[in-house]
Amino acid sequence: MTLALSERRTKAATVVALTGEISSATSGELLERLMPLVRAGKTIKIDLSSVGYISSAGLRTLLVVYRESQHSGATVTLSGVGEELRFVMSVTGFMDFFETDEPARSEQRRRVAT
Amino acid sequence: MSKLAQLAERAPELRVPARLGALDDIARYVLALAGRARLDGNTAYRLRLAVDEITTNVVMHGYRGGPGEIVLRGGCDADRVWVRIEDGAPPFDPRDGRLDPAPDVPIEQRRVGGLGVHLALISVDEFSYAYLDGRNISMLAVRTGPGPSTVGESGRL
Repeated sequence: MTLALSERRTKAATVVALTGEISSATSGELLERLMPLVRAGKTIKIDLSSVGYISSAGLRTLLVVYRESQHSGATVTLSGVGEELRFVMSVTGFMDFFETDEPARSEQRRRVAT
Repeated sequence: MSKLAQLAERAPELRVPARLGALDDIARYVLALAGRARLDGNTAYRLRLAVDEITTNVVMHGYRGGPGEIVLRGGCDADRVWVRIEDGAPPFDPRDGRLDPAPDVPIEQRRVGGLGVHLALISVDEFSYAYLDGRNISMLAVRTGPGPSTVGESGRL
C-alpha cells in the first residue's frame, strides 16, 4: 500500500494531491513532505479525492499538521473527502476542525457531540 | 454444500510477524475476505480499519515492538463477517486503551493515542476480547444484514 504526493501551485494555494492510502506505513513520509509547507506559513489545500483509506495513523499526521499550522499561520483545508474518510474523520471529531470544500453533514456532527 | 459448511465458511488463517511491515498483509487478508463475502465498500472499509487499528495496537502496545506473531482467522456466517485476532503478548484488552474524542477539548490539546481503538470499536458491530491459554483473542464482526447472500453460491439458509 503506497501513497503518492503531487504538488502544484495556484494563485490561491499550494495544492497537494494525494493518491493511495494513509496508513501507519505511509503517514510518516506524508508528514515529512507536508511540514516544510506548513512551517512556511503557506495556504495549503490537501486533495484527498484519490485517497481510498485513512487510519488513525493518518489522523495523527493531520493533527500534527493542524497544530503546526496554528503556530506558523498556515491555512490548511481538505478537499475531496469521500464517504469513508468522512466517517473516520467525523467520529474522531476531525471534521470540525478542518475546513473542507463540501458542507459537513449535520447528522454526523451530532453523533460526534453525543 | 451442507448447511453446516455454509454457516461456517472460513478463510485460511494468516500468520504474520508482529511488525508494522506486516500490516499490509493483514489488510490484504481482510479485503480478500470482504470480497469473498461481497461486503459493500463501506462495510469492508470499517472491517479493514478495525482490524488494522487492533493489530497495530498489538504490535505497538501488546508486544511493545518486540518479536512476536499475530494470527488472523476470518470467515462468514449467514449474517456477519468476522475476524479473530490472536497474539501471544502479555494480557492486553484493547478496550483499556480506548480514548473517546472529547468534543469540548480543542484539537490541538487532545491526546491522540487511543483514537485508533475508538475507531476500531465504533467501526464494527461486534467486539469481544478474552485472554485464554496465554493468548490475547479479539473477535471483530460486521453484520451483513438482510439482503443478498454473503455465504456462498447456494444462497442464504
